[in-house]
Amino acid sequence: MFGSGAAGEPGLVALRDAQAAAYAADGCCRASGAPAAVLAVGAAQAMQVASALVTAWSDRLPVAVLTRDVPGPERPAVRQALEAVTEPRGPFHVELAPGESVAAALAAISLPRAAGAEVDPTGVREAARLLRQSRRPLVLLGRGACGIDPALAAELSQRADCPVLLTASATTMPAAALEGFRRAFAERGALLPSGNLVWVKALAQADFILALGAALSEVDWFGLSSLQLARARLLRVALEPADPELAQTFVRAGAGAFLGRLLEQLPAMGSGKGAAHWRQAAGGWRDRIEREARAHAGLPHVEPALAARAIVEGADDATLFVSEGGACGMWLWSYLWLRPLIFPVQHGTIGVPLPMALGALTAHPDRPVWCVVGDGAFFYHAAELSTLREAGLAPAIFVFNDGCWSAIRLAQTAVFGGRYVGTDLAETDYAALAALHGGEGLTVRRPGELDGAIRRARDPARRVPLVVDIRLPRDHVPYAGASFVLAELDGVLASLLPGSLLGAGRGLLRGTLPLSTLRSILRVSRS
Amino acid sequence: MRLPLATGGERVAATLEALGLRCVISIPGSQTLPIWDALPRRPALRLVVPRTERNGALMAEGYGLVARFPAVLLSTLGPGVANELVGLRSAAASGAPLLCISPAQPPNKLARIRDVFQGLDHGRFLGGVCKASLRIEPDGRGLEQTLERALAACLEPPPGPARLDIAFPALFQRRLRAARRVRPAPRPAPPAGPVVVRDPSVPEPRLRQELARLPGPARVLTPGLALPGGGLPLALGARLACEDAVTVVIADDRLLEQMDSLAVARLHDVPLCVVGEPHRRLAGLFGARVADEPEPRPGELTVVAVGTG
Repeated sequence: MFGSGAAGEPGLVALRDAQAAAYAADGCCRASGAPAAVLAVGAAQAMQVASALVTAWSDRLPVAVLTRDVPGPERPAVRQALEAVTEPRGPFHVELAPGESVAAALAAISLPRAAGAEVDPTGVREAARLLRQSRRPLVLLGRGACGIDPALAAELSQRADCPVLLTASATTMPAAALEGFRRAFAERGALLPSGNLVWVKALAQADFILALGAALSEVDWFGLSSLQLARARLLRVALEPADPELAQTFVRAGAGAFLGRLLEQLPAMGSGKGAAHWRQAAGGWRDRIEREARAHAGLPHVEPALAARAIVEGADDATLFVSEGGACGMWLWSYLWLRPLIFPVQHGTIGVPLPMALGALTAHPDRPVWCVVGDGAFFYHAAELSTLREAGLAPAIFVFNDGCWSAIRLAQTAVFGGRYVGTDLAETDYAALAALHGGEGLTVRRPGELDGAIRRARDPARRVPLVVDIRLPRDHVPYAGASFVLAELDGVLASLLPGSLLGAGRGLLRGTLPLSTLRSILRVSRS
Repeated sequence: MRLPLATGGERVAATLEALGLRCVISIPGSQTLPIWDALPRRPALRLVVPRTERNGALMAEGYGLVARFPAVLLSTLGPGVANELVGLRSAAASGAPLLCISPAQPPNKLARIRDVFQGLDHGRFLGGVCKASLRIEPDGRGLEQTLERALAACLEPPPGPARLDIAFPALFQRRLRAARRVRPAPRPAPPAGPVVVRDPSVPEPRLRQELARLPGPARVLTPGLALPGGGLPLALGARLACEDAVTVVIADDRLLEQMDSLAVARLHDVPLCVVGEPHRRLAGLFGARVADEPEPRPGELTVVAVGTG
């Protein structure tokens, strides 16, 4: 359980700020897959917690919020805010009575259990029929299917001779589950994380999609009004219907139980070429972005592709990565391939990595935790550097420092004719700030300095948080993140397209969108 | 006469200026960019970019308390709006006028809001802390009049925060510029004299002790909600409302947790003086002057960090 300034509660991990405490509970929950709790004392803390809970609510995380000592006049506003972001499958709120013990309240909590072990055989038969009849079938696994036996998913991929795609939410499933999927698919089937062009092509080309435990949210490219990427017939298996239901067929069932029944009815199909094709395509994508990063090694400055690749390659296999919405998160996402990532998917919330890292370290004290944060959002919860240091926790925090709100500046380049209003940041020495908090700080200005920073990040003897301030040029375009941008501007994309093409052309002429960036994107997009 | 075409964002900026608003406090988001893009063509509007929405709301509270006229708090939707909750409640409690504008999802997305990117029912989440919640739909109809009503709502006694959701496609729409002009709301002259902001963590006796060290009487402000650390952003907002006033914030000694406000002051060229040698290194990182004793100067934000133990 996490809290702020509520010392004396047994087992409570105390942070500087109540909102950060809620994000820590959120991060703990994402890392472990188990519920976590946050205690808020008084109205201000309860409201701070409610603000953070919005993110847990959007990703359906079982975060328990316990509130205490909220004065009567403030109670309606607190209740109203918390009611807007608590639902049966997601966060929940417990109001402690005066004198009620936190431990007793926690013990009394019973989470709603997943119902529906019975699987409708009609739905199973229909799925088997459609998989047999389709030329380009595809299985889409959502966060609700992360608890299934990965071997069954690999078996399905092999028998149906089709790729298994993870949604954005499932790509960020808890580490232990993700590692199970990696092992199960090592020798057979094809498993694709989201956020890359191969995933997009597979989704766009499919003529039948079997969606297991997927909410079909906007960041999964479903439900967009500007762009319907998936035009295939869709059969969705989940415990709750989507509203309005996007799938032509909805089967109310747990993903694991459904999959077991389906495999009983599904013979081996195809020649094995379908899954092999997507494995090869994935390999090609990874080779291309690898080459792009390596090509930047000889430059006098650090390109974000080089930094992201160095961070991912330099991290121990057990490392948990934490990031946020924005360009830095998208760069990390570009280079992570089925590596554990803690990320606020449905909201792309910024400023959360530090407290979420604290939550992840609480869930997995034995694993290294590395964060990638943007300079724009660094200050949201920078105060927790002191908390981490006092708790003897030593995450590595890589700050992608390009002196601006990168993603927004990119939109100003593309859509607003290169008119840059308000996106510059005050020059800040993040390494020096880390030292003021009792942590360690390093600044990386040239490619050759990356290795030393990574070595220090890996050093098991380090006992304090490490902040690596990586100085980057502006105006870069990550290889991942299109799903977030499209979802963000859904509804106005069509009207923005002509202006965007003009804006990109103007940016190339002015040099604000470097030609090398365009070339790089074209190279990695080639298949 | 043929009226020129304008985006919804340009119409919002033009109307805010015409209504007499002078300060827009905003963290950027893709959906708010049409308003941002129009701001340089509205020289009366100053854009101030905080580093967290919560402290942006507290800045707007400080501005409203001193100017007795609201600043515009403009945030992106979903988590950006959610972060304003505590600051809006604080403004409601202190009686600070505050005009909170945010883009919102269009009506076709509301039924499935949880699966919409950055989806949140803003009205439901913030309804308990705002005096009024208004909305403009994607066609942008009645934009000017609705802004006028929102401003009137936050000024109506007792002053407080009023919200306006604008379905964000309205901000990107190109439509005829509004024929109906809005009238500026009467803007009271800010009270003269120095302002002292007390952080909620500073106990009363300590405040009195510090006030005694300052020359002459001062108006003392404090955030409406007892949020430790809320004093510095509130003082920054107060200083933005009255550029040549003497503004002093009496905060606790955890200045290290207030770095975002120091960075905002630096970005927006607000001269900063930190009292106390222990804060020299931190002050140096943000270009602040360090003094041994409070020696408030007009236009400078003086931070007196006191131990609260």
